[in-house]
Amino acid sequence: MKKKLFSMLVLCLIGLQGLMAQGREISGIVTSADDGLSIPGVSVIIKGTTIGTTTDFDGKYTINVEEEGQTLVFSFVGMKTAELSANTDIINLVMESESIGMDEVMVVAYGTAKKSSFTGSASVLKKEALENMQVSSVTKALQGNAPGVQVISSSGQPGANPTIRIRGTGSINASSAPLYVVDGAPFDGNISSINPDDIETMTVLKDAAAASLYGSRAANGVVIIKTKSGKSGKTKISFKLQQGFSTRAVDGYDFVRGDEYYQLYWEGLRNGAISDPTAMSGYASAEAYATDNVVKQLVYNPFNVDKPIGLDGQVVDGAKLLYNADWQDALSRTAKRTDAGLSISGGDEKTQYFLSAGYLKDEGIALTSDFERYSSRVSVTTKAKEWLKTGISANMSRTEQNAPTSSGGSYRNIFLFENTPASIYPVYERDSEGNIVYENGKKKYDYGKTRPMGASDNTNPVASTEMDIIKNTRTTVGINAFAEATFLENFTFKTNLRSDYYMRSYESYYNSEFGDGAGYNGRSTKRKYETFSWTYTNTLNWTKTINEDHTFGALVGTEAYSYNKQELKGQKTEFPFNGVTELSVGAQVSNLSSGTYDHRIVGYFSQFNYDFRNKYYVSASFRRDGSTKFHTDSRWGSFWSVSGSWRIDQEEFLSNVDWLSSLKVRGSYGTSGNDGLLDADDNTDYFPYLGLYETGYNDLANAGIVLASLPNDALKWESNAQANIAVEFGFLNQKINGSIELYERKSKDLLFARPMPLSSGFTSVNENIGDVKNTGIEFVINTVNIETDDFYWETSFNVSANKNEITKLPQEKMPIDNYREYRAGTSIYDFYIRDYAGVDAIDGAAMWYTMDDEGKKVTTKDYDSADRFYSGSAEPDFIGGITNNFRYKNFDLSFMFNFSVGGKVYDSSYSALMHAGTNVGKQMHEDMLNRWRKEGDKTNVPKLDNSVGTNYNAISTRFLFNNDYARLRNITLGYTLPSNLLEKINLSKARVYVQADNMLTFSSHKGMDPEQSTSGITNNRYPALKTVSFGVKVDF
Amino acid sequence: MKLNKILFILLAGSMFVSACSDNFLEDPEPTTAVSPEQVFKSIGGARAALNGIYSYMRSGNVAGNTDDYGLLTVRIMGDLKGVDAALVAPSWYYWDYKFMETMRTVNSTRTREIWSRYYKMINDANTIIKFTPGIDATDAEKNQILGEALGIRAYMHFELVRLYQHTYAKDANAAGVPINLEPSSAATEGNARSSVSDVYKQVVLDLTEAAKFVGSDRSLKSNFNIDVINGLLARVYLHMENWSDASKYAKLARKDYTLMSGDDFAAGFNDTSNSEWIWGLATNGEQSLSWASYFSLWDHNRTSGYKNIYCDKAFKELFTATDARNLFEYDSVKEKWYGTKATDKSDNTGAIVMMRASEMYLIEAEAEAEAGNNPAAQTALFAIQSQRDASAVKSTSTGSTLVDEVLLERRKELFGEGFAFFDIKRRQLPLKRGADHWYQADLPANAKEFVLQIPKKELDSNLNINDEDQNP
Repeated sequence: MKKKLFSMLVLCLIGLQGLMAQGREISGIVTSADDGLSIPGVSVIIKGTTIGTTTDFDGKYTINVEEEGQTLVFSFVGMKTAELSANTDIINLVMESESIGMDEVMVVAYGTAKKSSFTGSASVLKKEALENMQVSSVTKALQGNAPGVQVISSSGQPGANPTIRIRGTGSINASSAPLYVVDGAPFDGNISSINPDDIETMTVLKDAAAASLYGSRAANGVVIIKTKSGKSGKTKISFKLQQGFSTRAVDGYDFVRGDEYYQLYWEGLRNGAISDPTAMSGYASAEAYATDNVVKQLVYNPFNVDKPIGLDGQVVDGAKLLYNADWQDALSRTAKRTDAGLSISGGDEKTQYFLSAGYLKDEGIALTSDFERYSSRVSVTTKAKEWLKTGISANMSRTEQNAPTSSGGSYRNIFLFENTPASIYPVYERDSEGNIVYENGKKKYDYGKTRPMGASDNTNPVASTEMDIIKNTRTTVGINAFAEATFLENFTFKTNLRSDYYMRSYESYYNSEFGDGAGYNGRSTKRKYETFSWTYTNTLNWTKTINEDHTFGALVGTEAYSYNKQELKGQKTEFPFNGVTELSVGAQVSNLSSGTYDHRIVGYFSQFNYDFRNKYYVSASFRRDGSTKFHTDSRWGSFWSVSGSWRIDQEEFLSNVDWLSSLKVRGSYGTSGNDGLLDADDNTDYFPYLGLYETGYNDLANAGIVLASLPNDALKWESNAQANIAVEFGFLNQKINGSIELYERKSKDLLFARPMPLSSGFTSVNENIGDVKNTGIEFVINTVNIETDDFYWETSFNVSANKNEITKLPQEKMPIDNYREYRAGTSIYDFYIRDYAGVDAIDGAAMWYTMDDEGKKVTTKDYDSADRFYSGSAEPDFIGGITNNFRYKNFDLSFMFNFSVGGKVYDSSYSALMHAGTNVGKQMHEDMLNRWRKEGDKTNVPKLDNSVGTNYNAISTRFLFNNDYARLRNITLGYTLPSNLLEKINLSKARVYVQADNMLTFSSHKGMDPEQSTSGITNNRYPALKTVSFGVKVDF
Repeated sequence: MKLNKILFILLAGSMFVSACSDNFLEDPEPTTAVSPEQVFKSIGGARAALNGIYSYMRSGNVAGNTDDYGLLTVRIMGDLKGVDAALVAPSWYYWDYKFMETMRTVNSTRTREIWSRYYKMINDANTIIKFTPGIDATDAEKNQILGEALGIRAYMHFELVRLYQHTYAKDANAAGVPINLEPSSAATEGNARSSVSDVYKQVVLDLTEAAKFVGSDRSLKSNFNIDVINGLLARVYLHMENWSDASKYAKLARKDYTLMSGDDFAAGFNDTSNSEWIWGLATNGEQSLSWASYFSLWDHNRTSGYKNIYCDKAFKELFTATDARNLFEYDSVKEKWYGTKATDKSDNTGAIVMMRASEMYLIEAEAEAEAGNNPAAQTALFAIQSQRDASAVKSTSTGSTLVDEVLLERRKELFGEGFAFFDIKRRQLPLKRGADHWYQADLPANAKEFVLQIPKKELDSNLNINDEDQNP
């Protein structure tokens, strides 16, 4: 957009002069190295004169040169200025983009800014980087590409959005998610509805100077997404098709074999009977008891003999293991991925347009899981009058996502189930010889009606996942319209209305035969909600330059935001025909509810900028916001920022230092706010200040209500104050450039659910209490390592570190759950758990630490009397990424690693696999083979003993692991067909490529995906996918 | 052009103004929740607040755990912490069955959920008691509401003090539980533990007051009418070993209820229309807890459910062949007996009995026996025995033998209704299970395992209860 404005300007200023000139005529065409397309509006000036012209809409120019030996200067915003001597009649130029230059134009709050003049902190991700990622949800592309931004893909489910934390977690009970702004206004739909191919840039605003103009909702940072728009010039048609396959990026846990399981379980029984002899009354010995009971308890006998384990605990002679079930394999698959897109863009001097359509089908490795997206976007801008510019863009998308339960403790969860039945429980029924039983020519599933509890009885998700439905259908329609008028001198007025309609439909059906739905003869749930939101923004802009030295800019604006959500949910049971799942079919209503929710914000804002000779910049902003989430008397909050920068490279005394191409220092301080208090289930609380009765507690037909919350009229905005300083540098004509930033982010008056004594009848009351601090450092360096005509190699590297600290709390100790207890001075990521002291070599019992009366740390074998200690943090010490791009002739190669070092993870899935024979039928990890067996054994794994309850593998540092990892996030190899070949077949560009995501993962703890959650606790989650695709992209 | 510019300035100005309309921020209101002001505008609102408590008594999953079914959790635990009901493998409630400390002590979900749920109902009752007098309605209407709320408050305190301390007769001066009589606010800092005797005093006071207010009419058997209040008084006095009042109120409570027939006894214990049910919680298809319900655990013939509760073979053998309560079947896979007394309705909507006439006869029998009125005790006991078993013979025992017979009859009559553990506590008996049990507990009378610890979240946030106030 800016490019065109600039070219218009140039045209106005110098166009006339060009027409009047006389002499030798030189002509040519200017094209872009990026896409081979012609560039209109490039200024062509004879060096040392004011004579010049601009290229027309086909990129062509003609200029008269009066004297010999003159030089033409070609310049265009965002492109490297080129100087060519005017010694031939035809001069064609391929312009290179100024990709890492100081004068890039950035998208910032309520407008754009030149990178050189920007006083805030922001990271920009361009379409080129996005194109290398096979992300169904575009924010995943920020991972490793934006310093200070932690991206955790907790789920490999296609279409799932990652958790994003910008500069740490600043809130405890309020949302820590950033604000998403798409094309100038807050976006309320689902990010996964946006086709990444439609995105021009993604900008992360991090500090107060960058974000606080969004005041009310900017406390957790802002992600601005700018979609593509049309360019004047030749119509460009672009088509892309990509086809790939996905498998699991990391292997699961290693299990014991069926015969090993039998022996281990025998040992658990034997040791249990010794610990608690009441169990073995009537038996000659504990061994006899174990040999007799092992089959009885495990029920399934995968051997060819009735008593497979002898009195010595070994498999008896002649006993043969008939099968060894592999649930992990049975529950996953190789999945397909198809991504296709078409876009058309173009326009003339007045009107530009962009159209796109995309299709994605992304299957997951879990049975039935997939994501399908149909998306389209259209954008038109036109200069209606000399002083009036208007535009409208619209997008529509529909996504369908089959998302079988893939986290948590429900046995529906495939990723729990693969760790659940021991290998002695077959996927398909087996006959007495161990052969699979067939029924009607098909393998007969084993539903395990007699499987013990630990192996999940009466279910088989390999079969029932296909019989069940868990599906999300999302429809997103967005319209953005604006009008911008320039008037008087230097004034611009812009009015922008954005509206988003989002409809989410959730449906689930639990079949009537097995699992959760069996008790109800099938259960069908339909939940639909639609949200309609609009943001109406008006801004008035003024700029003025005085004496070429002083440039002033001012902005005032208003914004009104309204969000309305209407929800309807129904559930029925008693379905006579399995698989016919519409609510009309069911006989019994088990749930029927609806609700309407509103959230509104009004804001007034202003900004003032000043720079002196492009050297010294200062900027200040102020915003006042009112939100319906607070009481009338407390709802208005004020947010402000001040910032400044100094471009030292512009100073006289550095003008002779050739190796230094840029040097800038900047600093900012400011505040922003958060009104996003969440309820106990992490849902938005629309009226957190009201004391309310909750409806729906009906006693048969008698309508009933119960008290749900305590009032607090004084509840107000959570505020976030951030200080930021940075140095930006560039050497050797920007071939080496980078920045280093330091920040301190203090969240004050946290929106906090202050714990109440449970005897009050409430668990908490919402108040503004508690402070959290995040401090950090971010470092970025980009280098062009080799640049020749044939070979080009550039590297980008970034690393950032954040440290979180709770600085104030309403009570000394704040227990959160079995893993965490907050106190001032600790971090919200800290683990507070029992400290494992290993195994007593004499009796094989597990030990933990406790503090004795003298304050000394001593061991105990009683889990309950062991003390909890702060045992490390889930927050990584540092995270980052490194990208290398190579180009050799027509080949290009790019690869990107992201890494995370220093965080800890509590692996509860692993701990469950390390039970001491207490969870009958539950799978065991291979590490159980290292258990203590006899006096003197030195091992970290306690003995098997099914009498002692569940404490051996209860929560302790035994299962807390370092979670360092590095991932080859992406590698792409491409070949661009030579242009002479393309001209023959009338194409402007064609590229074929192979792209692979998550090819390699190096992690310090095996069995789980290293990306889990901000809290660092595993939850049987869907692991990341490894996707390899082949693609072709053609431009006409 | 000039005109255009002026136009724009005006337009801009008007747009700025349009955004700041006052109503824009005032209009939104909650649509699925109501304010206390709205609730206590009418007697219907106050009634809705009462209905909410009755519903909450049997709602599940409020705090997020599958085995949190409100009052029914305490009831299920009440049998599984006794000597007759049994589990055979790790399954729901096995923590309770095995007296595992993890489910009793300060960090357990069990104690947290019981404590918070009972006190929540106390606070809801207190809110009703505070605001109902201000409603524009007749005294009779208001008294009925007040009486039920007082009854609920008393019942919750009574249950809490039974769970969080040994019985009244052991040490009435021991630390009981906090007494809450006012609606909570943000300023509530939590009350200290009152002595057991003070809690009982308040319970008796509330019930006595409630008895003056409530009538006998009610729309559902979940609601506290005068019979429920009297029945609760009988229970409370029995705990206080006030034998004469226990007997008196037991008789009052059952006077309008007739003991059910043997056929009715075998009909599943799932319908409030049963002639001897004084208090029961009914449910319907929408409100049923289904998998997460009492019947899911007890009813082995249900189409689906956990079906994990069995019984001790020795207990089954206490019943004669002619006893209508001899309702047991054998599971040949698990090699264990289970009871068929509680069977769900086919659509999983079985009601739960919370108080019935035979318990009142048993209270009367025990109280009279303890007071030395042997004939009265024998008659009350025989009223049940003869109803259940045609070949029953009236007892001629006296003194402690007679008391023991009543206690045995309580086990037989009230099996599965949550009394077993509380009778062991109340009578200060040791707990020893027989050989047929998967877990053969052997605990002395008044063992610390019988008393729940106060949950950690209370200790952390209550300014008047500290770590040193905790139960052992």
